[in-house]
Amino acid sequence: MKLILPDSISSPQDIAELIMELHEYSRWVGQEAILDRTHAKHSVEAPTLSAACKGLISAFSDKNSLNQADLDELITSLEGLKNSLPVINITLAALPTNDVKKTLVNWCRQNLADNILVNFSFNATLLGGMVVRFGSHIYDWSFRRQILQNRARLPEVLRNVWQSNLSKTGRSRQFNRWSRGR
Amino acid sequence: MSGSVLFQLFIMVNVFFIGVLTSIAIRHVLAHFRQQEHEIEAAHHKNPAAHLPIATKERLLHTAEANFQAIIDRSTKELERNLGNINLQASKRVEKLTQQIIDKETEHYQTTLNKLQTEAVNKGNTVQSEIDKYQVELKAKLTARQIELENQLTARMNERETQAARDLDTKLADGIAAFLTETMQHNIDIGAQSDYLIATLNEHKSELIASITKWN
Repeated sequence: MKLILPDSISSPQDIAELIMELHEYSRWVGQEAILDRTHAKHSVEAPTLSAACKGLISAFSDKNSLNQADLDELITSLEGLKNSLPVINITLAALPTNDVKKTLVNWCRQNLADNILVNFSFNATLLGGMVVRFGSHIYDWSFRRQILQNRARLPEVLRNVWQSNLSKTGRSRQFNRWSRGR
Repeated sequence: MSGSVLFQLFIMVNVFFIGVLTSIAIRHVLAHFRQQEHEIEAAHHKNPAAHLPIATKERLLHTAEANFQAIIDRSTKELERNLGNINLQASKRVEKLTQQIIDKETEHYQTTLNKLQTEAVNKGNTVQSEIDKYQVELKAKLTARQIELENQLTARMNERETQAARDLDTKLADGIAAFLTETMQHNIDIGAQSDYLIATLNEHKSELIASITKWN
């Protein structure tokens, strides 16, 4: 059965956290099974699972709860996915919110590859846009790069703006010459 | 030229004097021989005169001597007069010849002088025209060089102005880029960029798919 990762599980760290949660839950399930077999008193409460973990468990099996074997299988599948799935790194200008993360992860999984993992990072100097890295390819679609690539046009833009604003007033000869781009 | 003429003149004068002296000598010789003939005639008549007294003879002798002396004196005077005439004529001739020579040389000198003056004037005119021509050429070269230098200067100034404008544009662009980078990196709203991010991903979807395909 193919495991479909929810959009909230986007990065290898998320899968690692999921695996840790499942490990803890599996341990508890095993302990509970031993207590059941020995008819001992259940003293430890079930660990709280995250919504993603619950969703994954329910997606993995038709049953609402899994035994330890199923959990081990799930953990093994997740570890396999973590090592085999493609990982794309997206650097934004600020820390992305969960909604932004989900949106981007959803787009990646719908357009690029199923279960693709996305690592998010931020760099304020980008000013906006993103830098995407996949393998050895880096795609810089940030505002900073666009500003630096088009910085030669900045004086021309300034001239156009100033010419339109100062067309009614007198201008010095030096400004005239600079504005003509000499 | 003048030396040879003078020499010729001297030779002519000498020849003249020789001729005069020769003529005088011939006359004296003739006179001497005439006197001998007279003495011979006298000797033919000697016998008739043999009986003359001594005083008469002396008187005749004295008379003869006087006549001879008179003849000598006369000849001498005539010779002096002739020499004087000759001298005067020679002097006049020499003076005339000298004046001719002087006039000729003066004329030649004047002609040469005029010729030299003409040549000097012509050469001076030639030199002046050459100088004028050279001045014109020099002025033309200077003007051309000045124009060339002015053009070079104008081109260099324009180049420097263009370079200065380019440098100004570059510095301005760098300043604006640094300003934008410095001011826009604070308070960034990622949520507001969400649509832009998705649009960017859609725009470059093919590149990402190609990378993933290559990785697979």
